Amino acid sequence: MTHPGLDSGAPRPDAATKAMGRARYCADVQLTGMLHGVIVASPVASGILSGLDVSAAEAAPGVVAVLTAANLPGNNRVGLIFDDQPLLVTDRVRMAGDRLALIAATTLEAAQRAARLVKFTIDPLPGVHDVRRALEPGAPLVQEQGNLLKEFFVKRGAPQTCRDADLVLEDEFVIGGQEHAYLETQGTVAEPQPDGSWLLHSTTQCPFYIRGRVARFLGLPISRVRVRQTVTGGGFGGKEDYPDEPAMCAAALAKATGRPVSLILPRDQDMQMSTKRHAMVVRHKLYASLSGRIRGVEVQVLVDAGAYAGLSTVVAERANISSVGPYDIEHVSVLTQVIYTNNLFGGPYRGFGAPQVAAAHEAQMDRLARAVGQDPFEIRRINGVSAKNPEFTSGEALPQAHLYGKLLDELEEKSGWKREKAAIAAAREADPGACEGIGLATIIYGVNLHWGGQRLDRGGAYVLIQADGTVNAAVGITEMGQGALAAMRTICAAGLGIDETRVQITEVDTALVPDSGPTVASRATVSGGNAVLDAVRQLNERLLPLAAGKLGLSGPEGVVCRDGVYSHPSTTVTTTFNEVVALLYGRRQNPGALGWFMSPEREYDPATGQGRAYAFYTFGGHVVRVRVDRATGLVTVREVTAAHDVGKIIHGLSAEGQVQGGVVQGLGWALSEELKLDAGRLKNPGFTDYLIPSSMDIPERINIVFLEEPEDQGPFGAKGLGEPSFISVGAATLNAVSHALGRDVSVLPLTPERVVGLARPDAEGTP
Amino acid sequence: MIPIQMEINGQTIEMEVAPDLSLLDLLRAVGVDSVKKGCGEGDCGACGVLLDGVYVKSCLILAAQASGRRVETVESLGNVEHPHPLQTAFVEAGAVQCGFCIPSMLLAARSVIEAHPEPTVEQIKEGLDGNLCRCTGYVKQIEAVQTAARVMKEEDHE
Ligand code: FES
Ligand code: FES
Repeated sequence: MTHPGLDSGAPRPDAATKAMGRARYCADVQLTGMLHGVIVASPVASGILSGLDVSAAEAAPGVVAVLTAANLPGNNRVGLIFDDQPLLVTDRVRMAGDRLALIAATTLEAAQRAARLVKFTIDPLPGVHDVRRALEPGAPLVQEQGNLLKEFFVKRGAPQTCRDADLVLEDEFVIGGQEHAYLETQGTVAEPQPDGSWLLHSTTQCPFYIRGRVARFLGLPISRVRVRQTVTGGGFGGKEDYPDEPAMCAAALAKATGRPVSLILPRDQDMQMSTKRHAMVVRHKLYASLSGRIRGVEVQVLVDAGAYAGLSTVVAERANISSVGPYDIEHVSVLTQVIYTNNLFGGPYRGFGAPQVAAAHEAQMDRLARAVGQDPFEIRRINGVSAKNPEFTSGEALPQAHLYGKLLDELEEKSGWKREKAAIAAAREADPGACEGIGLATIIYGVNLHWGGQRLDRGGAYVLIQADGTVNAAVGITEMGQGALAAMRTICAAGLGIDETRVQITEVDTALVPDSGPTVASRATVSGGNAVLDAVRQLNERLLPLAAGKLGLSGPEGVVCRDGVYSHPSTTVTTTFNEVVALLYGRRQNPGALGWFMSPEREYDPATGQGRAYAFYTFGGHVVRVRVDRATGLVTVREVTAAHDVGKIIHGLSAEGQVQGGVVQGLGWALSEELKLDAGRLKNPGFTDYLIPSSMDIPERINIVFLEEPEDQGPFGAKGLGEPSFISVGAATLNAVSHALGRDVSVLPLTPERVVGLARPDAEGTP
Repeated sequence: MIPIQMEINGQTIEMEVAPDLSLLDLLRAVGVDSVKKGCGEGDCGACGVLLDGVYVKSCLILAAQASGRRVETVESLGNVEHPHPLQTAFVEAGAVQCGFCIPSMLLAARSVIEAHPEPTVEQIKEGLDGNLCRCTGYVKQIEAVQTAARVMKEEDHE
């Protein structure tokens, strides 16, 4: 049963402001005396900075400060988990986009002009550009301690005992990275306060990260640094940790000048410097019997971290545990290696490493299906987790394992799988040149933080009932476009039993709400929502007894509030929320509450990857229907069906929007978005040649199935959806193209050039 | 510096600008910040305005070129009290996520409806082709344009 007040159909609270053009993003912040900051960056990916002359820049009109590593007014270390990155280069250049100098000037144009006057000499060094070569003896070292940053493992059963299996399927998948392409580029306005404290206005998913790193940079306690999130123009993971870097740059310039500094990255710099979805190489080997049952899987994942660790290890930890898929398999071995290169800076991106490994495990499932003559749905039913075989790769028995089979059923039905497959077969019969295909992919995803990050898996929310019966709430998770404000508002209103329009949620201000961890991993609804509900519970403990008194009852048991009216089955007397709030204030009771959430403590052994990796999981899947033009290599996506196990829908419009947006972004990754590198330098740092989908590229239809079986740990049973909406799109597209071409495909993105190559009859690897 | 004069959302401004200043930078400098800069190179479409009623990307136009002309931004469409049917439709359809692409997309959508009072999905897709949105997948935006076109037609008949 749907809880009253959920999914009311009301528009998001931030939609009107945005549609009127009144939303204020980072670049819209204007302050008295504000300067504009720019970054001078290295165009080469590997070398030694042997000369840096900023005298001409310093003398340029309008310039107020020029900073290099030599006069940086703060800690030059950037590293979040590993101390391997400077804010400004001291000697070694490790990636194209490494910062050499910072400039603040009275106008942006003056700062840009001065930037062109900075003279530098970088003596080139051989770089590492192929993750497969990076660990070879004699490979150039990106970091002094070696190119292997970290390894993760799954060791379950004994895969070596599977070597006599009927079938062994093995391949190497080369999966490309991706640019987040949030429409609003990264930036911060740093504002020194008269009392020596700091206020930063930042576009970010994780204001608490910025606060921590800027405080460290300035050598201040975190209470002296306040970060206010500005309306954020998209994040997708790209505004998790990376925003700290422009924020530190802006703070450095503001400290040096004593004036507010706005530093907004231009698109080309944003694309070159900021984190990207990791390029990965996935070696996947599968042992199965002729019945189609998989006995064992061996996977090696090579994660191209780029030159600095950033959060690559965190992403890799998830890729590691996700690399087998939603299947119950007895023998599993996974080795995930996080490797330094001089390529782009790898980091969090919607799906956190899962989409790359899903492309491999789902391609393998389809190959297995073909090898044993089964339908792709059937092969997943045979191997998928279920009530009978509920064990995931981590060895944990999933309480909701039965939902996987249900998801398959719904996806098969909704996509018209059998009908479409028959139609494709008939078309081929009539015309052997017809090139239509359909592909399926499914995933399992922990919609919270992995065991390795569980200390951050928490959330806070402050809910304050005002004297007139309206409500202000401050939540520690962020809105970046995905609809978090709407979800928090709905949850708060439904918990109190009042209309949503009474509730006002404010964007994060680190001085007002507890550090709630990062808004990532599709955890906003659960962490923020549970925190809101905890505050609401405390408030209801005060409100309900007062309401009971008004209803003439001796105790609050059974009193409910709906649409702002308290009632009880035993009486016709009612009272309103406003009357009860007036009583609360009249008695001088506390009208506010701080709610808190933390995910349950879990046990997990990183040496074997066994234990409880995540607090809970969601299943998802996509069916993608394509037409391939063999001559041009162009793949047209005709229809996509998405199925998600969401627990409970909080705000239906936002949920659908996430799915549609995830599908289209996923198709971009799968088909057109290629990061073209020349020795680590991005050759297409703009939307002219880095092609994200436009309105012309979307499928004719996107069908959506939501499975609603409540998750005990979620607010009103809800799970997260932001990332699953993306994860299996690429894999399903790969499978669809493979189906259309009638051959194995082991690469993403499937750009026209690649597809033309794959479509040639003599192409290598043709089955 | 070049003296210019133009009408922005009904208000006439006169000032001197550098010859290489784009219309986008001018608008933002005078406080019309609903016009967004997503790339500055004509690729993203976040900077769209109506120049003498015609939808253009303001980052590709010099401020000096726009002298003597009429510039309209999303503020000219409507406001919270009197929203334009397109704004209402976008809000109600759930077509707004991060919102960065929206002010410009609304203007592009208005041009679509002006050219095709009953636009087909294909015509809307073509009309919005230059307006990148990374969040929504365009589906709800296309629906919203259709809804708005219907509402505007009905209003015309009244
Ligand atoms: S800013 Fe003008 S098109 Fe991107
Ligand atoms: S709503 Fe975010 S870019 Fe369109």
